[in-house]
Amino acid sequence: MIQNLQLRFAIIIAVLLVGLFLVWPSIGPVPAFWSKYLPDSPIRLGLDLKGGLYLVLEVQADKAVEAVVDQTVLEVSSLMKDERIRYNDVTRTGDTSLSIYFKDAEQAAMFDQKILEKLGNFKKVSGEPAEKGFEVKLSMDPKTVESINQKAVRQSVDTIRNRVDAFGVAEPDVVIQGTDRIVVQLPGLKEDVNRAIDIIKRTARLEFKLVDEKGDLEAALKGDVPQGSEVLYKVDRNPNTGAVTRTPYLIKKQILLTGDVLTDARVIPDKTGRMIIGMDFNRAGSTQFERITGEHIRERLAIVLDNRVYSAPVIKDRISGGSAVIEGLFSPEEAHDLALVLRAGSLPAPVKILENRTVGPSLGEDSIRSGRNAIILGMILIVIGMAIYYKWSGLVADIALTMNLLLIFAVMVSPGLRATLTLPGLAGVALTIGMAIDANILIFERIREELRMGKSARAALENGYAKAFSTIFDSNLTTILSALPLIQFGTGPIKGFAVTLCIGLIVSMFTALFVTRAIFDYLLLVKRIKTLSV
Amino acid sequence: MQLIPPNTKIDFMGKRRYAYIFTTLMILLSLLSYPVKGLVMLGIDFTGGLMVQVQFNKPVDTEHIRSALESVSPNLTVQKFSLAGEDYVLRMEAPEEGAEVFAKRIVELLDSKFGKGSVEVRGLEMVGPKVGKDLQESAIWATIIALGMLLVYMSFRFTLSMGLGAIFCLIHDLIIIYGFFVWTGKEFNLTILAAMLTVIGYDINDTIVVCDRIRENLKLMRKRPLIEILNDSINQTLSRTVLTSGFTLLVVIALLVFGTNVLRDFAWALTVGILFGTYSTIFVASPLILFIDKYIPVKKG
Repeated sequence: MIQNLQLRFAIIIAVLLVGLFLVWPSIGPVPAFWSKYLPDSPIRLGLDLKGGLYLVLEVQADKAVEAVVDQTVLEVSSLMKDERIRYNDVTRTGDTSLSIYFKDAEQAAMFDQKILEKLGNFKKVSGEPAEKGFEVKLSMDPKTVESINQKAVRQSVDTIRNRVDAFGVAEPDVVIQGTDRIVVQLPGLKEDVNRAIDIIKRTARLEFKLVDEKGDLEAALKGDVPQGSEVLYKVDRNPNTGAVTRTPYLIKKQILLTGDVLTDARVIPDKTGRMIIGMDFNRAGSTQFERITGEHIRERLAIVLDNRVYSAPVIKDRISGGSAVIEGLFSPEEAHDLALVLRAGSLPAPVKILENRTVGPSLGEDSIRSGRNAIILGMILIVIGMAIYYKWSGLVADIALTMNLLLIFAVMVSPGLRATLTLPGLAGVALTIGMAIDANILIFERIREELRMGKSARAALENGYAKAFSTIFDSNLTTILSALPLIQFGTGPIKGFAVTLCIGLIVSMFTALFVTRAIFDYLLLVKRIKTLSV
Repeated sequence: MQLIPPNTKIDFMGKRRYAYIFTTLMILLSLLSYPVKGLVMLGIDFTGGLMVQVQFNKPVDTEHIRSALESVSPNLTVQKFSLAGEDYVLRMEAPEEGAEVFAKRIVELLDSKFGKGSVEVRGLEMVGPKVGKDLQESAIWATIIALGMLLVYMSFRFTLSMGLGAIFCLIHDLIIIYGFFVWTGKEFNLTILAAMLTVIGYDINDTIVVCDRIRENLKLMRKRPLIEILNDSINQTLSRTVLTSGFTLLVVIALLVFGTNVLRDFAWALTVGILFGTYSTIFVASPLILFIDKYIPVKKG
């Protein structure tokens, strides 16, 4: 029995040491040999305590699908020109469908023969005479739509990860939620939040397109836009006066080159001190760029970013070497951010912010203080209350309770789990203290009952623990059951609360039952006390 | 020290008719909040919207803030939330443009009214209407699943009648907390949902402690009528019930004292939940077990 007791104390002391080892770095400085064995230790604070940014984004993947259909429209018209198939119009008619209007059914038949099979992802839906000609409807097959959607979300996550890496936040977190949502968490973000959001949500779609030199800009502005072209604007903001000027351009829709070929983008001040952005292309990009510039000498090549024209210089000569610049009146910050997003890559589809929770660092500090004070006050009240009510036994319970508190934090910082402490989590810790003491109250009340029935201290203790056990087990398990849905459904802070509560209750089974029992057994068996002070 | 003397024999079950009346009255009072005050005020977590927390470095008053921001949103509300500092919460519908741009404009407007640098945005929460609706659904599911799991567990570990008694008792507690939030005009948000589920967890504890005793006494006192067994079980556990509730309330009071805005409402929900949870274990669950016994007998042993 005594040996058994030694083993139990050995376990308790071992657990206590591990607990201290894990928790101490969060409280005070530790020597180097200590911190060497720990992960980037101190306790991981949730956004609500540390301050930072929490965003839920929705990837508008249907836009990515639309873009593919739009590209197909251009592709189909150029293929038909090559095959000399006569048609009146090609146009996108829905998110996933397009219509071609042929001169007659014969031309449509030629299309079926020569072109349709090249458009693998599209199926012919119908073909019948219509007002604008013989109409053939094509629709993207649902599997392709699905895969474009998924790819858009995955790519967006990758791109956003690249971008947030630049913020230098210790533990950025970018994950997919559900089918089309992305959760971005940047705890401890020091930078300007607005700027960070701008960088994250910017599509940054860079396109090189030709200016439609033959088209009539004036007519286009009045609504008569030539087929295959569109009106885009160059927006200039004078950095001194803030005045904004918008210059329209008639731009061909065909995309000659996209930002996907970029290998680098950086800010370079030009001779006059203005900020410009230098870009390098990969090998494929350089070859393409050289070909494009060679084919379109004396035409204007527009650099379009997110449907805004930045510049449209005249191509003077074939450009080799694989680099280009973006000019515009940038402030140094704008230029820096733009280079950053270009380097990180573009989003395949625009994103919309569904949820935004920003917590300033000072608010977080206040929350930590109030949570800590509440825990300390709650702890003191219970420790004193237990000691008064149950005398020495109360003190034993107090020891267990203190250990409980230590172990909750130890489990939370333990390398395998790394749970996040949130403001509701702090409340959860405080509450656990109250609930953990319930186990000891149940036991002590039972012991008192047994003692009243005239049992010896030893027997009363034995029965007290035995009879209270099933109650304690059931009650803790049910509380955990009711907290589980919160872990499943809750958002960050609430999840933190549920996790803390569950950890606290599991730990309390160890401290309130195992630890207190070992102490009592020691008192009875080794110290040979005859009466229990309860 | 002993608060409840040993061998206390209060005839709880004999007074159950008064308990029925009181329980009915409390539930009616909670439900009456609907025709009088309408539904509970949902926080932006559930409705969607924008909440900006600002702090001023000098005393200002809500009317001035509201007038300064009139152009921003017609139905903007301003609420002071800390007693000590100049902390205010501004609430409005979620703007079409980005919330961050919006917050910037708010600061500009407040700066021009109260002087440059007098205001700091301490926190911002924007929840789109779609997310709010999702969260509402999740909240309802979380509650239903919690109650469902508990019913199954209770029926499995104890008896169906005890399970039903416990679940009704929890629903009673939730209705009361709900009523409390409507009558006091407090906001119901995700944190309060967490408090509600905690109350469920806490109150089922209470009920289990009593049910456990009932189960034990059913074996010990086979010959005695159920009503006496219920009474004895409540009395035997009364000391623990009072003590645990008392200690837990102490902690909750600590939260009330030190908690910031969010935590304080959380603590209020717990206070009401613990008080009525303790009451309902004794006066709702036990009479219900007795009542259900007529239809589904509590099996002895």
